[in-house]
Amino acid sequence: MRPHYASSIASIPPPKQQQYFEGNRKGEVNELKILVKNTLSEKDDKKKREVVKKVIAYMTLGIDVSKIFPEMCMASYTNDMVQKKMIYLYLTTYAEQNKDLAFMAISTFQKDCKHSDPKIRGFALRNLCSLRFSGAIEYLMPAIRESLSDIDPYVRKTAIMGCVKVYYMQPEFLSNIEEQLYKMISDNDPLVIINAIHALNEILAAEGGMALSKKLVDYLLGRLKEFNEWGQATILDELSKYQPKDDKEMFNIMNLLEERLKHSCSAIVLAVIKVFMNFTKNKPQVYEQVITRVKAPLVTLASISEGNLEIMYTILCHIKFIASKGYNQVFSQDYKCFYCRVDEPTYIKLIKLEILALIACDFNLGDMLNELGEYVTDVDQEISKKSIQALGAIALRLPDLANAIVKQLSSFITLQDYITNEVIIVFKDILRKDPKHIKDCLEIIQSDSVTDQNSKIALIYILGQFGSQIPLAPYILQTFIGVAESVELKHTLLTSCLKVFFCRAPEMQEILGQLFYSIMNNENEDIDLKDRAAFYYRALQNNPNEIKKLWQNGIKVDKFLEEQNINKEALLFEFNSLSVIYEKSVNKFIKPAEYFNNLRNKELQDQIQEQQQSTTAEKPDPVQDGFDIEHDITVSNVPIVQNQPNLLEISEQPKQKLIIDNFVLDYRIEVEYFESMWTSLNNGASITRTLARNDIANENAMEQLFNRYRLYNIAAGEEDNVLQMYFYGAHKCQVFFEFEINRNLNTVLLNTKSELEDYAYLAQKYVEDFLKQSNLIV
Amino acid sequence: MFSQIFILSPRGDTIINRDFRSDLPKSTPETFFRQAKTYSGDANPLFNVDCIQFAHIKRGGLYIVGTSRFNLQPAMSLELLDRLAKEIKDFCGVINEEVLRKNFILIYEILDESFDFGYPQLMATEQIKPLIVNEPIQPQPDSVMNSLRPKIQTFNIFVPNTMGSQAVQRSVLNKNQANEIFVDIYEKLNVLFNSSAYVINQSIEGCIQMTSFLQGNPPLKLALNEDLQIGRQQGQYSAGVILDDCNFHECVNANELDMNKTLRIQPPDGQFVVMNYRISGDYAAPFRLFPIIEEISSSKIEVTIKLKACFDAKIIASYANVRIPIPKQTANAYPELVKNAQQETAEYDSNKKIIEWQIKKLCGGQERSLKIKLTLQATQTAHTARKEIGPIAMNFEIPMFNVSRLQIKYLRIEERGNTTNPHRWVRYITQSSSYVCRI
Repeated sequence: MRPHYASSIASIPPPKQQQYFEGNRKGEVNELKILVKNTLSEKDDKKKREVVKKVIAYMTLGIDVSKIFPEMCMASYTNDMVQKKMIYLYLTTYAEQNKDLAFMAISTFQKDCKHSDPKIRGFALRNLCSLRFSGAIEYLMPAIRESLSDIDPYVRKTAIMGCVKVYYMQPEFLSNIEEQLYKMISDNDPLVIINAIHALNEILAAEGGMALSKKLVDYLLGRLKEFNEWGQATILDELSKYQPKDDKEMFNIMNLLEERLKHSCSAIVLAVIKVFMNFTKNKPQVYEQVITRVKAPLVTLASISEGNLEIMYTILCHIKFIASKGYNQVFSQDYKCFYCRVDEPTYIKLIKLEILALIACDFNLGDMLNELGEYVTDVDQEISKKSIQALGAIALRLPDLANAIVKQLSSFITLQDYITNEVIIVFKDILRKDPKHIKDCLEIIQSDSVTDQNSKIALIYILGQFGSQIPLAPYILQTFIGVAESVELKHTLLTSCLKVFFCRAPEMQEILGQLFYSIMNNENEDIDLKDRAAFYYRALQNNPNEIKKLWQNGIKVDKFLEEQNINKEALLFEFNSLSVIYEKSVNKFIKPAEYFNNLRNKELQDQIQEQQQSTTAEKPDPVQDGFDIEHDITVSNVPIVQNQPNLLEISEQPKQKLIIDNFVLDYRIEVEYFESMWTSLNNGASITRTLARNDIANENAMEQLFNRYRLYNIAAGEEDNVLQMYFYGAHKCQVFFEFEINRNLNTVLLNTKSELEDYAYLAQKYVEDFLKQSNLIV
Repeated sequence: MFSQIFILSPRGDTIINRDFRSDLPKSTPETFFRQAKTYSGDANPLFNVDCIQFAHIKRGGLYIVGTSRFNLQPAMSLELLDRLAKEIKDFCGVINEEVLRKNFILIYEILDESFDFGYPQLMATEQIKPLIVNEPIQPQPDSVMNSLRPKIQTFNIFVPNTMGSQAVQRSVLNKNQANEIFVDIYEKLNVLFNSSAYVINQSIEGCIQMTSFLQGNPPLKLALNEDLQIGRQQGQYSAGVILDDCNFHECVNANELDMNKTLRIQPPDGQFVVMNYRISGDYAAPFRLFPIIEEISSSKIEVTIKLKACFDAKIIASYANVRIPIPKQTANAYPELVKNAQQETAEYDSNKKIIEWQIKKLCGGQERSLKIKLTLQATQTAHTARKEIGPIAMNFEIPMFNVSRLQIKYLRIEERGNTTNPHRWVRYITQSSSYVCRI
């Protein structure tokens, strides 16, 4: 393609819009651009390499070097692979923002796709397929189709990935590719097979991925060892979706896979376990055998993992998951493997503590209590708190052994405040379930080092519940009256004071009175709390005995949330998925692709806005003067957010038309500015019409036609009977057009973009009208 | 699979940033770093922010991060990042910020071959080697030393600090590479003593690691002890080496292990772990610690620690560091070494309230001791403060020594072809994993 820029640009001084890109780095990027330009003619590859490398370095730092795109396109005609690799990386990164210019690069890619060296063929194809803009597809598909049957597996496997890339750009181009991909599963090369599986899973995602027949399963299992670790993990993951026809088939597969449990790669071991679990989920006895069988490999991975702490964490999460499904006994023997080590990061220690809490049982509890007791004094507060919680959880789960735990927890009271705080909360839960432990808790309850909000609430609850057994209860409660605390705490305080009042009226009467007074006479008090206090107050005035009866006729709680150590929701978590790590169902952390597309677009918009805001703050845009201001539509340089009310108005009157007189005459912008606006603006309007007249469908005629309607050409090029032109104009705001006449298909394509979306639509209409008038389209 | 892979410096600067799928926001590196910093310690390896999944590993202080919008296989994603880190190590020799910054183009190349559209492709070092066109750039020699040997030994994992290991810190791309293979048996000891020097918990985590520079990747045969036994039966006593459990690398065929204690290996290039094992049985701890705490007065405490090396006199520990946490309320602390102490230092870090006692060389059978005089602030008495002393943690490395007695009887190169007999280097290294004495 031969692009040329409208010749008028050079003679006219650039407008001030280029200030949009005035930044600290503009100078640097410009310098770099010149440097690249100058080095292009050099013969010394070493020098060139250094310059290209510099560009990539800038790119990595997140500096926008898309301006150098034309120069980099030129540089891509090199035979030096070192440069070529870097340049291709650059081109694929910025192609999206430089669609028009990216066409220049395509020919190089195409040429390399036919190179005699398969390494280069594959490499070029991979990069060609990574050019992310719709126009590239036409060039892509022939190359992909050809490469799918290349003699070299490296090229074939790359071509398959190319299909997936096309699928995300324009899936309609991939008609009937599935059949071919299924065929490629019988390829000789393992990587080709794996990529075909990945591709099928993405392309057929809506139907639940690749279809698995018994034949296919047998075939893949037979070749399993030819694949690398990731390939095996992928196949095993596929296999976990398969349902064997009968027990015989099931056991055959399981026996075949059993030795894979000895693998040091955790991805494979977990994938095998998932297959086993899914196969046997409806056969509880076999399932339990499976769990017992996989214990040792899991524990091994959790203790070694080649020093890979991150993997260790993942395995521990899965062990916790299995234990929490009711198989905690399986790991009880190995409790010492879950002791915390001095050099482990906090995230490992925390998950180990959770596992210890789950697998504690009569025979290991003695050792474990000592161990957990040590962690309570750990320097890391998080560990300390977690170990107290773990002790509490064990006490709740094993009520027969709770006594020892309560005694141990009580012994921590002389230690730090945060320890006391945590212990109180744990005591609250234990006492709710089993009030008999109150005598062992007395000392800590009456200590005065409770500082945390939640711990205070827990303490107040305990004081209320066991007011008759705690001598100091009324006086401790008294200290909370009138103190600035949360509403939640005051609600609890009110309840607890009443409870104590009913058993120790003489001591409490005055204190309760104080409480009522402090709540009801506080103007700013929470209205619900006030209501409640007033209600109790009046009720007590009327008939205290009746209230007492009512109050003490409490509901008996016999089911505790903590007792259900099997997490119902967790039963549905998919093994070997992130659900197990986060302990959340998949719909809580996975969103569809559109969600992220919106995020990406928003990110782009914010960027533009930021740039615009910074410029408007400095200088008003001179273009504004060219507009008539009778319309209430704000001009382009004002941030988009402020325009929103106006946008609504426009959309309410869609019949509004743009008139030629309102377009700025001889409006001029720079090529770079056009490029950046074109790429940064959101998609506006787009139409495709049938070409009606061939005689004026050429570059010159079109430029003249558009000029007449005050739209100006900035770049144009023609190749393979496709004429592509770019126009722009300024009305209330700037509008940009991509105009394409495709003589092969006999179509006219018009893409319009504008800073105000409605304007893109209006401008589109405007062009369509004059194209119709000139009979170019019907 | 992965949408993007990026590598960040410890300060959050982007060193490498590769977007494979363009389906997530571009600001993910900042999002990641911000979230990672919210953790009090190291960040969880897997977390999500706004439904973007982040998987990361930390190597040489660097964050190697993969992002995705899919429900990843957690283990696989982390293994992939780990594999990537190993590839980088194989090609660059070492992995640290300076090396990565110097070789970022090479790393882009590796990334490009390793992943396509976020899916793992060629990930074995020898498969990628012929596709790589860039040469590794070696960092300044003195800076390598700096980065490898921090003044205070951190609790490294399987990173030996002995001189010999420098040999394997080089790139597989080195053209003048000798035809040789390094075999290391690492054992990491986990020992927990209670206050009366009684062992509460002990275990060994070991591995056989190879770094292969063999030309043509010939098959190997590795023979282990004849009295080796895998799997421990309850109440069974055996004089042999008993491993509780073990696992093997993809390239290992362990079918003959039970019969004649040999492993068949088809070695890849670069570094890989042949076999991992764990042992939970009793063994003689190589170091013993004897702490004595005396309350001199209500505000003064004296801590005496004796360290004994309980191994053969011919063996020398290359370093042994002892770290003693002391009470938060300490006003001052004076660690005192024995007179004429050589190659020994003891320092008080008043910020962390830790005494670091470092011993450079320690021969088997020797004994060392350290006395620490503590003065407390007025707010705490010696009686309550003494509870805050400890636990004492040890960090050491003993070359040419292993506790499990697992041995390599021979390493045979099966199809040598015409090349000269390659060098085979076998080392044994014992390190501390968690070597702790409670008080």
